[in-house]
This record gives sequence, C-alpha cells and structure tokens, in this order.
Amino acid sequence: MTRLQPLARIRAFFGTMAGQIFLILTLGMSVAAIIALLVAEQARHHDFERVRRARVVASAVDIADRLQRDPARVEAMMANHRIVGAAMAPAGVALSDTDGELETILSERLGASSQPEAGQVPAGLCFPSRGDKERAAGIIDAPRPDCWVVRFTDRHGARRAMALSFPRLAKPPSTIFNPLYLLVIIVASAGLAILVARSVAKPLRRLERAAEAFSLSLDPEEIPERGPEEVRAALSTFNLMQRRARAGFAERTQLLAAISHDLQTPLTRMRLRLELVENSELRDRLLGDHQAMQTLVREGLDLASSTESREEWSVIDIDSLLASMAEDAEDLGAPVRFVSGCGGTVRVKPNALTRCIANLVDNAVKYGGGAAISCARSGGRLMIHVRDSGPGIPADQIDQMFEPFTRGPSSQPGGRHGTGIGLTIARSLAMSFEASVRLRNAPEGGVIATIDMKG
Amino acid sequence: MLDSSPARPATVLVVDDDADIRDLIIGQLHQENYRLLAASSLAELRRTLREEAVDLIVLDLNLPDGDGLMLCRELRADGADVQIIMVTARGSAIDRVLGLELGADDYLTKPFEPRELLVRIRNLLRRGRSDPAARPAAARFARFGPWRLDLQQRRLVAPDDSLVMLSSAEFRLLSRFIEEPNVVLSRETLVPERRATAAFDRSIDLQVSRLRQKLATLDGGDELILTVRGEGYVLASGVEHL
Repeated sequence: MTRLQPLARIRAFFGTMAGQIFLILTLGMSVAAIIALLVAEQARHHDFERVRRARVVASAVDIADRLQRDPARVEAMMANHRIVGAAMAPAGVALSDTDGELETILSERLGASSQPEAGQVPAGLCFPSRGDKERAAGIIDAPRPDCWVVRFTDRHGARRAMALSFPRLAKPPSTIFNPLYLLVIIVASAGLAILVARSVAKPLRRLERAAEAFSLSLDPEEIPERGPEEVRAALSTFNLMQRRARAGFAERTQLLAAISHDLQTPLTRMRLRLELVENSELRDRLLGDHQAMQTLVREGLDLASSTESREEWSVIDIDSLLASMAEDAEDLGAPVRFVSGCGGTVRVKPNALTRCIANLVDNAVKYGGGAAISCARSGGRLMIHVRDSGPGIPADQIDQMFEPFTRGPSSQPGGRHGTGIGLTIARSLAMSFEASVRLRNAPEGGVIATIDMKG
Repeated sequence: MLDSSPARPATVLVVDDDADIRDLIIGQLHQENYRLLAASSLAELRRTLREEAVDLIVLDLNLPDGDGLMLCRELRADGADVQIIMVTARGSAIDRVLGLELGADDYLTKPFEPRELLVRIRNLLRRGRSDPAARPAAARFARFGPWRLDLQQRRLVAPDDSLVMLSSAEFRLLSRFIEEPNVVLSRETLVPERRATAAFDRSIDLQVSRLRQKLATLDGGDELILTVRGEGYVLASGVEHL
C-alpha cells in the first residue's frame, strides 16, 4: 500500500466532484459575503458623511438666522466665543478642500444667491487661543473637535464667514477586514459546501457501487431508486440497462448452450461412424477433427453452465483444495507446484472454484510450461495466484485474453491451440462465486493469473 | 449367477431415440458376443423388459416419452438387478451424481469413444455376474471419527459442514481404509496399481502423512490412521454409511 503525500492527497481531493463543488462553493460564497459586507460598509460611510453634514448645515443655518435678526449682537457674541460651537472665522483662511455636496445643501437652505463655501479646517482655527492654555493630563489625548469654516453672502449682500465647531464624531473602524469575520465566513461556507458536495456525490457513489457490483456479479440486486428526481431517473435508467444487459447475456448463453447441446448428437453419430472408416490414415485425421469439435462443444457447454451455477455455497479449507489440485496435476505429469498457502477457510462454490483454478492451471501449463499456485490474504480479500514461467503476454493484449476464442499469439509456444474459451470460462465461473480473475505480467517474467475473492 | 459359458451370451438392450445412434451402437456391439436388442422409447423399453431377460441396458436419458432417470429409479424400486449404463448429452456434474444416486451403474456422456462403451459394458457384465454385491453402494457419505467422506463429490465434510478437499490419490487411499476399517492394510493392498514397488515406495508414506494432516485439522482426527510398524496402516475407527 502506498501512502499518498499530503499534497498529492489534496490534489486528488480537488480532482473529485465533491472537491470541486467544495472549492467552487467555498470561494463563491466567501467572495459574495465579502462583497456584501463592502457594500454595507459603503452605505455606512455614506450615512456617516450625511450626519456630519447635517450638523454643519444645522449650525450654519441657525447662526445665519440669528445674524439676520440681530447682526451686531450676534457678531459680538461670536467674537467673544459666547456661542458654543460658533465663532468668527479667522480672516485669510483659504479653503483648499471645499465640500461640494455640503455647499449644494447650504445654497438650498440659505438662498440661491448665497454662494456658500464650506470646508473642514484644522481644529486650531476654531479655537485660536487654545494653544496657550495648559491642559490637565486627562484631556491631553482627548479628541480635538471638528472645525468647519462656512462662508456665505447674506440677503444684504454682506459676505459672512463663521467657524463652526462640533464634538468629534468618531467613525467606528471597519469590521470587514477583521480576520475573525473572514474566518467565520470561510468556515461557514466550507461547512455548507461539504454538506452540498456530500449530498450531491452520494447518489453518484451508489451508482458507481452498483456499476461495480454489476461487473463482478451476474445476479446483482437492483439499486433502490431513491433521492432527488434527476438521481432517481439516472438510477432507474441504470437498472433498466442492467436488466437488458443481463437479458442479452442470458440469451447469448442460452444460444451457446443450445447449439453446443444439439451438436452432441451429430457428433456422437459421427464418432460412431468413424469406426466404419477403413482407411486408417483418413480415420486418424477425421478423429483429430472430431476431437477438436468435441472439445469446442464441451467448453461451450462449460461456459454456458458456468454462468448459471446452481451449486450451493460451502465453507472450504482453501489450502487443502490448492494442495490437492497441485497433487492431482503432478500425478498426471504436469509441472504444477503448490508454493504457499494462506490457511483458514473461505466461503465459495467449491466445484466452480475448482474448475476455475483448473482452467487457469491448464492455461499456465499449456502456454507457460508450468504452474505455481499460491495463496495470499490482504485487506479482507483472498487471492489465489497461478503463475507460469512462459514469455508473458504483450501488455496491450492482456484484456483481450478474456474474450472468447482469443488465444496466445501463434508465435508463442503452445499458441493457437485449444479453443480459447478457457479464460472466459474461468472468469465466468469466478463471477458465480463473486470473485474476479485478473491477468498480469510478473516483473520477473511469466504471467500471474489471480482469483480475487472475499476472504 | 455365475455363468461364464459362451453358450448363453449376455443380453444388451440399447435405448436411444436417435435411430442412427442406436444402429451404430448396435453395429459396434456386434463385435462382441452379445445378444442385442433395441428400443426407441420408454414404452418400447418396458415392453422389451417384460418379454426378455435383459442383463444390461445402455440408456439414453432424453427419450420422447419420458426421462431415463425416472425409469432408472422405477427399475431399482422394483428390485430389478439389470445393469444400467446411462448415456446422455447433458454432461453436467449434477446429472452424473443424480444418475448414480438413482441407481445407474455407470455413466457416459455423449459423444463417447465407442471403445470406452465396449470396455465399460464388458466390465459391468463381468462384475455383475461374479459379484452382484459389488455394485457401487448407494450410500452418499461414510462417517468415521469426526469426519464424513462424501463418496460422490470426493471430499471430506466436517461436522460444521465445512469442506476439506482431497486429491485423487488421497481419496483412493481413504476409500480403501473405509472399505476395511480396523484392518491393517499393507502398502501393497493400499496401492495395488503399484504393487511391484509398493513395499519400498516412500510416496505412499508421503500420501498417508498428507492425509493424516488433513484429518488432524479436527479434534479427534489426529489418531485415525495409525502406523503398524513393518506391516502397514490401519484406520482405527468404525465406519458408518449414510
């Protein structure tokens, strides 16, 4: 078992659909949440500015009102700082940074001809004398008030200038780039994304498992059609496909069985008639042909019956089976060895397993000059390996070997003999006890056929 | 029953619905000194059996008016001791087991070697005449110690129904022990086909020791086959046929 490096695992996760949904949702929702916060922040800033201007407008309009009613007294009071929040503006202050929006509002309130000018200025201009005063420690760092200078022309055509002061209105700092907020947003998005990804991937997994089971077992159960509508439709289509594939498969098997079965009678007649042929050379050749046909028919019947094994399941001592088979083959002079066992028992259909192994061993002897049988358990699986010492199979032909009537290349020793159904039968027998058969080339040469079953 | 005089040839009845095959088999059997009868259906077969004394039937299983297996059971139920060789195109293991269980003496699948049929007929006739009790026992299992031996599927069955497989040599060996339990068997009797060298043949010891190992996997299975120094081996257990 190879352990994936963390980086490779992360990459593998984002290669999955769940991973991609997770990525899209997490990024998308985080970005959406941040944009929403930015918009809210903008609105808050706007409100803040509006309140600030409203204060300036209120003071400016009030003072302008008073000036109109009693200009001399109000001017004197302003000059003496007798009005809190309003004073005479110091002369010669240039308003470098005027507030256009504020000026528009002021011109509405003070009259079209007022030509107001307004701008925020340093706090010192509102309190020219303050700089001289000593301060107690507690207010050294106190926020300086806001100071605005407003100029306008009153109804009499006189240009007025005032300095308006307000308690500082502190704008609370923006919360949006607070890491805690970002963390909450991202974690919540990720959590939701995982939920969504799971719920989307779950029916797909079920479909995948069903497809997997279909390829392993010939009599799989239908997948229950549950879940959202699209998923139900997919599952029901899959079930339909499964039924059709099985029906087609059964039909093929029945056809094969019927043909093979019906060929037995003419073959019997032919065999009996061959005894009447007097020319012994001709008879031997015909016997050879007859033998070939008979083998084909027998294997055809084997293949047909292998797909519908009615054999009962039994628990068997696996090593006793492998050792016996090797022994029997050795007794018949075939170079077959039982190399290593795995102990214990396994639940199978014993005759199907025996014939399956026998087919693989026959192949190994025929094409690879001998067979070594071994057994291994790993991760709840039991694997029976049949290894030959032949030249191996070209990598691009390995999968084809399971197709009926495929034989080793004619250049190979032992190639182009036999019917080419041996492996097909072996695989189909293996399916009857829920096992699979694989072929691979051993690194040291030769082919390893593996029966992989629940152990 | 002992009748070896050529004056009275054995009567063989060939039953097959395919006229060609029937005639061809009969043609083959003409080489031997048999009296030959033919039938193409169950009805014909029953009629022939009523009228003639038949020693052996070559019986095809698929007949137009019924199943050869049923007839086989009928005949055995009536106590007929006619020999039966079943010939069928089915060829699956289940039919073979069923055929033998229902009382056939031998079983052959189509297409068969004509000579094989001749040899089997000859063997059955010889065995049947000299020793009618030698017909394969109908018992399916032989129980000894904690084990049962499945005589048809040729494997050992533990009390919990789990299976231990036997090689052909081990099965032959065990069958010999079961035929004569509690009797010391020499190497020569155990492996008659290798009688000449059996006394020195270590492979028999190897087979016995493998068999012991398999038997010893159950409690009470480790002292079933005992060595008798200088004489051979003994199965130290009673045998019960089931």
